[in-house]
Amino acid sequence: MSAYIEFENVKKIYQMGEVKIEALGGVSFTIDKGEFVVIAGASGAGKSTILNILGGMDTCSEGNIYVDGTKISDYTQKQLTTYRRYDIGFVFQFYNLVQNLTVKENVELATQICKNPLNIDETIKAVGLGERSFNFPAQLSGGEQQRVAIARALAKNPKLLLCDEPTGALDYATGKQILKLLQDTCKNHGVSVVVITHNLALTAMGDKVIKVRNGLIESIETNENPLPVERIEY
Amino acid sequence: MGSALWKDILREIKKSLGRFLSIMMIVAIGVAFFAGVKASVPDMKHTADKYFDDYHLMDIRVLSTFGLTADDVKTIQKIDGIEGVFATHTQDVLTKLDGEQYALKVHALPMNTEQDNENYINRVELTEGRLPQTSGECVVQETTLNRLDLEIGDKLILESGSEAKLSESIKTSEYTVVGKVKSPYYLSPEIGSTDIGSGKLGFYVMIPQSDFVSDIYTEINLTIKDARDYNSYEDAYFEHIDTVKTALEAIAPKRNEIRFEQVKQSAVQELEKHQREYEDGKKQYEKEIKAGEVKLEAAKQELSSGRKKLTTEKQKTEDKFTSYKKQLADGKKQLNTAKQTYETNVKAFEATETKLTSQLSQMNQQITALNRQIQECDEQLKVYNEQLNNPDLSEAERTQIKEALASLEAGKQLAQDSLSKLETTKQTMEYQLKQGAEQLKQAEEMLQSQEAQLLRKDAELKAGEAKANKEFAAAEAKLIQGQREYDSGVKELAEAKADGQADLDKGKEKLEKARSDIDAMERPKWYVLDRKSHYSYMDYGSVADRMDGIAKVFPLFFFLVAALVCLTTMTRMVDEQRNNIGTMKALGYGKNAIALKFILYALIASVIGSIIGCSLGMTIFPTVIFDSWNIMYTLPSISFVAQPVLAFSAGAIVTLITVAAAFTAVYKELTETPALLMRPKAPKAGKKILLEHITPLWKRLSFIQKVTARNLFRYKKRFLMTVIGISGCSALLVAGFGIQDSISTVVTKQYGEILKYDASLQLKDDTSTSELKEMKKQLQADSRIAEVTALTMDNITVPIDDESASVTLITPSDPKAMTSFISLHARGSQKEIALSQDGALISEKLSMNSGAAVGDLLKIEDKDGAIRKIKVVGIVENYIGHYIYLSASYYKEVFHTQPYDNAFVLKLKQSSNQAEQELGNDLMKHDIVSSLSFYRGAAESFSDMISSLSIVVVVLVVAAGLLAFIVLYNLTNVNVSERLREIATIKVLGFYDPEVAQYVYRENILLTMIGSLCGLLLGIGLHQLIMSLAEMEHVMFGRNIDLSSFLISFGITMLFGFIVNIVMYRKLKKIPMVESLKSVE
Repeated sequence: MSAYIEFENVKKIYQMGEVKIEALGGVSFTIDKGEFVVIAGASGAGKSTILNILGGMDTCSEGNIYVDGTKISDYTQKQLTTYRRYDIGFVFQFYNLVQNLTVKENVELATQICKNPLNIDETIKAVGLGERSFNFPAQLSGGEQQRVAIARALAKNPKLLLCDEPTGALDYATGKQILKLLQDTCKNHGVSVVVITHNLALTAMGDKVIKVRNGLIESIETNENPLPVERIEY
Repeated sequence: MGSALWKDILREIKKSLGRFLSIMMIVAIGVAFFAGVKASVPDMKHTADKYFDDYHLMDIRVLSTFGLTADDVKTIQKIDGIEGVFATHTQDVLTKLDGEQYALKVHALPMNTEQDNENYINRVELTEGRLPQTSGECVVQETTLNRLDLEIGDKLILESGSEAKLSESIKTSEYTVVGKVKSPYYLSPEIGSTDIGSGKLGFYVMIPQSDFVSDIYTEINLTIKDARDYNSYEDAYFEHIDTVKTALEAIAPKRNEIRFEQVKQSAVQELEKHQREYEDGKKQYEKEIKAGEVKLEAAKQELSSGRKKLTTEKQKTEDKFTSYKKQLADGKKQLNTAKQTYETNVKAFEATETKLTSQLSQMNQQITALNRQIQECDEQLKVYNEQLNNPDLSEAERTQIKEALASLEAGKQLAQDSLSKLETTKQTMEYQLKQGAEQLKQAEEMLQSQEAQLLRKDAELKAGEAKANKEFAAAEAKLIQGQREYDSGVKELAEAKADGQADLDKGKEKLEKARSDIDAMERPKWYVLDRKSHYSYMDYGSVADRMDGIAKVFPLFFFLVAALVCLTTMTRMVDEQRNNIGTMKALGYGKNAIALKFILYALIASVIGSIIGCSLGMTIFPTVIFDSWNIMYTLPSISFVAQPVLAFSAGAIVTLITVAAAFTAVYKELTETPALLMRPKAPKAGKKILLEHITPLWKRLSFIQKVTARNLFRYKKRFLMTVIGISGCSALLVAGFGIQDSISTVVTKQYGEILKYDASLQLKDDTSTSELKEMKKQLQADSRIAEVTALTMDNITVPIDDESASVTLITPSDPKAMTSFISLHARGSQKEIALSQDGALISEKLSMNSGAAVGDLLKIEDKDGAIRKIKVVGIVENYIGHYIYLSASYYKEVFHTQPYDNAFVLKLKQSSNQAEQELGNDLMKHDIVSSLSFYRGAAESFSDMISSLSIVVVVLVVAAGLLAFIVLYNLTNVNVSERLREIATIKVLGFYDPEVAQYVYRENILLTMIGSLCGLLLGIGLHQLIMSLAEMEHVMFGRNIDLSSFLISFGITMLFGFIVNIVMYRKLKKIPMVESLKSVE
């Protein structure tokens, strides 16, 4: 049986005028269902590119990508949109909430277009924002905003939760809370979670740790006993 | 300022070319509109003035109420500062073309038409043919508007149109067209009004000055030295000509005094002549009436004597017949008596006869018995004789026998005697009988003859009686006939008397009026008129000024939109450049240097935009506007006048606005610290909007609707910009289409719903009442005419400010009959308004122009120049021309005279060109008809004229389109770039492209809709404004806008929005998710 997600020699080349920039130079890895994967690497190593391609926001130049048995590397733009719509949940470094919508509405924005959304109020409660659901993003702290973003991603009931530097804009304590939330989600909902970070300290919490450097996979480690977030210090 | 900054600016422009162009464009459009529309006014005036100068339009025109003499001319020529003097004649005359009558103005052309003749004033522009050289030649007005198709070589037969003969003023009445001209004297198709014919001048002709007979000039035209150096629409011009004007006014009183004496004298002579004529007429009338009366009296007497005679005759005849009858009855009675006697006699005779007959028969028996006795005796005798003869017989026996024989013979004798006696008796008796019978017969015969005689007499009597009766009947019939004739004679006389009296009264009134006129004859008055009293000059000037009015409204609008567009665009730009500003600040650049970039960006865009706007706007708009107006005016093509001040100020204002907008946008940012600036700007916080507090409603909205509603109110500046811009767009469209609606209905309403007649027939002033009646009868009998009614139709004028409007005054003799020809009703309610006993109804435009509302007094000037005041009691719907409607009684109150019917209005059964021509020819044959106009033609030419205004519609629609595009493009552009992250987010969330577009566009569409709806309201106002500005003096356009125009305007606005959305859709699709989400703004 093949893996839940599979990257097969994926390359991404940007054409900048005359210059070709190779962002990914042949990346291969697999992710299993319900796995908590940490992709780590320095800035510009290509980890975001991997995430973008995996999330259907970008296409690869070469190679094959399979998600749940489907080859998404051949998808058209429209198919990719559908893929994002039903299968993927995103959490960004800068939350990207719609400022003009309340917490609940931000979540609704995602749920109203997918097939089997989770209960909105429960999801918001689950991320610990039950009391703030009628607040606007501007009235929330960074951590709270990121929780809204997670709630928004989760409520869609995705197959895959992709997080791009989710703690990047947060302080230590808040960041930890967020990571805990992600780890719990992975455990409780059986959703595969991919977290991108430049912070190698976080690798300890992943079931699988993929290290990227210069557009290539440096190492893939499977962590038999991932640490709970509480025990990680960074 | 370093080159790096410049480079930065240039790169910025290159990078954001769309934004730069949109600022530039809105500036260009704003400036083009402002400067363009504004510039067209001076351009129009300049072009007109140049035309006036080129063709030496008079600077001053001197008129006198009594005409001007050669002496006057000489006196004027002596005044300093006068360049040229042209004393001339004008006259209004009538002519017939294709059966229709036109009033036209005849001008004189000087004999010397060389260009260097300074006295050749009001020159003409020859467009075809040549100028008249000899008597009987003329040039006609070149016009595209009139339906006249006069060609060179055509002949015009002129008629005076008044009582005066044409030959008294113009040498010949037949003119050949030798050329066509345009004249600066008449810029517009409105030649003016006249008191002859239909009251409206159709066109003008020019004939050689020498063709005018009179040595009294009607006007003197002057040009003033150096006046052409000035623009006559400017005050300096009037200051320049004022010296001469004052000098002319100074010599006027003296000239007037001289003229007055001349004229009064001749007027008195004229009056005396008329007085004599009137007296003669009166005498004649009285004589005729008298004769008629005498004749009637004789007839009356004859009648009564005839009647008397008949009565006597009747009596006599009756008596005679009575005695006849009595005689007859006596005769009958006698006859009856005779008959009875006869009957008795007959009976007696019959009794006698019976008796005699029986006696006779007895006698006959006796006779028979006697005869037998005699026979027996004879036989015995015989026997005895035989026995005697017997010789054996004894004597005894013989004796015996002889004896027996003797006795026998005696017996026989006896018998014979008795017999003869009997016979005699019988004969006597028979005779007697016969006699009796005869007598009876005679009596019977007599009776019969008597009876026959009686019968005959009876018959005779009856016949006589019948005959007499018949004769009497005939005589009576004759008498009745006579009576009837007499009666009608009486009636006729009465009518003739009344008609004659009416005519006489009319004559007398006229005379009295003439007398009082002479008594009240004012001193002649000179009118020294400058161009301000010249219709074409003023008319064109006011048209230009109206454009100025429009120029005030439109640009304001565009400026407002330009300011809003710049403000939003620049704000957005500053937001985007926030980081950059922070960096610059951190690098140590001063506030000014940083602000300079943005200000320069706006400045460059504005300056380039202004230059484009000015150069295009100031040529395109004046040309379009000038050409549109020139459809109605006959000016040569536009000549532009340099207007640097306008161009500069328009550019400066708009540049100032954009720079101010840029500065406002950047100023706020500059006050912040660099550190703060380098961090992303805190997104504008979401806020609950008012709508959310209305929970029931808010709950019902779908999620997307909620988002849209909140976004709408979140960006107020954009909201405002879009609503103003879009409302402007749809307002322009509504106004544009509304203009078409309003104009197109004018003709159908005027000539279909208000004036329902097809033709009007004006009669000459001196038409008598009986002629009028006769004419009416003929018209009614004409099979081509469906309906006809008579009314009083006078052409009067209403002084309004310095000008005077020509007005048709209508007084129906039968107000009820008029309702099927003219509908008097209020515009809004369409409610009928009846003529009033104590006031007049006036047409709406007249009320607007004069300011006279219901209850006000309106000053009018009647044909003879007397000023009267009428009270306005109602305002009626009317679009073309001015009308005043009076009731007969109010007419009398105003004019102190009865209204005399002098016109007919007709409805035709068939209205085609040919039918009208035929009817026209027939009707004009009547001497009393002075003019005839058909309204189908009027309606058509009016339609032609106003259809030209549809260019305005095109201009408005194009302007609307530009406005909509710029505003919507900008809005969407800003909207998209400002919400890039939001859009990227929803894209990442898996919104399909159309869903993303919907998410963004829903607001756009809603804003466009709100803007459109506001614009529809705004459009009504704009439409009203444009209509009132574009309206001509004597025309009122409708104020209606069809529902369909609203719908179309709304639709087009939405379509513009839709097109912009399609264009922007590509941009939306191209938004990169990854970069948008990662980058920190």
